[in-house]
Formats: sequence, C-alpha cells, structure tokens
Amino acid sequence: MNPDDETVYTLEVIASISGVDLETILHYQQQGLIRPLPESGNRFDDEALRTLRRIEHLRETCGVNETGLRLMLDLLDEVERLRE
Amino acid sequence: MSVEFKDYYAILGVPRDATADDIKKAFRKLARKHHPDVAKDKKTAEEKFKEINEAYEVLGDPEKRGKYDRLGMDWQHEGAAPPPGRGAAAHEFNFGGTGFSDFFEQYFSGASRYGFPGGMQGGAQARTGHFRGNDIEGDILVTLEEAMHGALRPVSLQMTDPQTGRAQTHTFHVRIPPGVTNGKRIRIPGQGEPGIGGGEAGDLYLRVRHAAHPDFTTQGADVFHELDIAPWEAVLGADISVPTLDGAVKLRIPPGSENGQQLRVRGRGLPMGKSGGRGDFHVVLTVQTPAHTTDEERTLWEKLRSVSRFNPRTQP
Repeated sequence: MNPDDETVYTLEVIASISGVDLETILHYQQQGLIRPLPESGNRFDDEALRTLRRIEHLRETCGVNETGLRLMLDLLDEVERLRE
Repeated sequence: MSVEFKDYYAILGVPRDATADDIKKAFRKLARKHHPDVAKDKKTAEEKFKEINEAYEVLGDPEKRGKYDRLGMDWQHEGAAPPPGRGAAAHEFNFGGTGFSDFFEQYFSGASRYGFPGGMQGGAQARTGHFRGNDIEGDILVTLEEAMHGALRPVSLQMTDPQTGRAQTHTFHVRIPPGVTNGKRIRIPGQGEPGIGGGEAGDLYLRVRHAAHPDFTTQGADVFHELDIAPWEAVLGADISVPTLDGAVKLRIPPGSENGQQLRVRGRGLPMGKSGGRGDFHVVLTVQTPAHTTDEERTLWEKLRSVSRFNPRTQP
C-alpha cells in the first residue's frame, strides 16, 4: 500500500465532514478565518478542518462573536507557538 | 500514569554543562552511527535513532533544555508540576508508536484536547442528545526519508475511561504523505475520544515533527546541507559529490567561494503535493581550516603568506 499525497477537501466535503453549512464556511473564508490551500481551486487541508472545528466550538459552546473569534484564534495560535 | 525519566544528557553522552555546539556534534556523531539507513541491525538502530532524536529535540532547543534542566531537579520530588495541557482531562490518554517516549509526550509535546462534548454543532447535538467526542492532538516523529517517500506508521492510543476505569488501546495506521512538511497536522478520523449518547468519535490530529538528521535540515519543502570544504577548495573551486535524500549529486564549487555561501540544486528537495514538483536542495559552504599542519604544509602556507597580496581587512 503506497501512501497517497496529502489529503485535500473540496468545500462540499469539508462542509460534510464538519457539519458546518457551505454559506457559513464561505463567510469564514471571506473573513479570513479559514484559508484554502494556495493555488488549489478552493480546496482545504486538515489544518483548515481543525480551525473550522475550533471556530464552531468557540461560537456554539462559548457564544463568542466574530470579533472574539478572531482574537481567540490568534491567542490559541500564540499559545501553541509558545508551547513548541 | 507513571513514566520513566529520560536522561537526555546520558543518551547523547555529554556533560550537563555541554555547549550547544558540543550537543550538536554529539548528536550528529550518534545519528550517523545509528541512522536506520546505514546500521546493520535496523530494528535496534531505529529505536536508538529515535532516542537520540528525542534527546536532541529537547537539548538542542535552549527553551526546552532550560525546562528539562528545571524538571530534572524536581523529578524525584513528589508533587512535581503536572504536565501542560492535561489539566481537566475527561479521559487519560497515552500514545504509542509516534516516535516519542511517554516522558517526552508528557512534558514536551503539544499533546492536548479541546472542546467539550456538544461543543461541535452544539445546537443540533443538544437537541438529539448525541455528542461528538473531543478531538485529541499529539506529535509524530517523521524521518526525512519518510517525508521524502511517504510511509505507513502503526500508532496506538490508550485511553482510560474515567467512568469505568478501563483502559482501551486502539491501534491503527497513520499515512505519512510524501512531502509532509514540519509542523503539518495529519488528521486521523474517528480516533479521538468516543462520542456520548451514540455521537460520533472525535478525530486525532498528529503534528508532524521532522526528526533531526545528521546531514540535512528542512525549511518547508527545501532541504539544507552544510558542506565542509578546505580553504583551497573555496579558492580554487572543486567538484564534490554531495549526499541528498535520494542519492548523491555532483556539485561544482565555483572558484572564489566564500564561507556561508549557498549553492542551490533545483528540484532535489522534498516533494510538493500532487503537483509533482519538488523543493530545492541548498548546500551551505563551511570553510574549515586544518587543526594540525605538517612541516611541509606549514612551509607552503608561509610561502603563500609571503607572496599573497590578499588582506581580508582591507577588502571593500
């Protein structure tokens, strides 16, 4: 069994896996909260899926609005960088 | 969970006050000796190589080394500080096969979880009573050879359910895609914490850590190699065979090369996704001077000194 190239998802697939609807994902994308892979024709990787799950968790469970989301995602990234 | 303390200084065979350079040299020497590609006993070498890598991952990083030195002093004391990111865990978990020891996993990896049951798609889940399990995150040590060609790695995840107290081990294979870069996360669906009320399990995210290599470092898909050259090779130029991740290449060192100068071999780095493209291979020249000289060599250097008009302190 040969390992394939890295996993990439279309918008529809990432919506299906995450349970987040297409319009919401596009909105997050427009806001710069998640980014597709460069030169991929709007395809996403596991990192984007992970960010999407984080966003949904912060929004649904913690009730964070979009301004708060941006701040918290930055802070979570900062924490990860410091722990590396 | 009890874990065995790892004496990283003993593993690299360096004293506790070793300089960063001593640590780097010790690592390179041991990594060359135990590299799975060159050692005769591959299984033993692989284990040893991972151990050396882990020690260098910590001692080769000033921040991690400082933390390790502090931790080392407190190790035998009861009530040592709890490892980061494991505070209010619903489940205890423990990785196997990631290339890092339990000790490293607990104290130096980014292993963590986030979210609460019901956190994802909360509204819908709360209505149905089905809650998706938490995602779990950890690190996986990937050799540059694995990053070059791709690999399948068996990984096990042991979780203890706090309600039943029973430990369950899941073993599965993780696909390392060719060209995977340092820091990239690989998602393994359904290998996170179990869901509640029939909800689906969370996912496992493993962050790729390139194993330190005795000859190469990486930056994205680009691979770097430090090449030691003699002063006359820098001045006169030379043709030198240089190792890459997929065989040696002949490299022409141009006359008048300088210390630290970089030469690029296009397309001999790591693969880049489905495009079929590859990163570049960069050779960083390091001019070495001989530590000892024979009488004859000394005479020749002295002759060079007397005839040369080169003065590095008056160059523009």
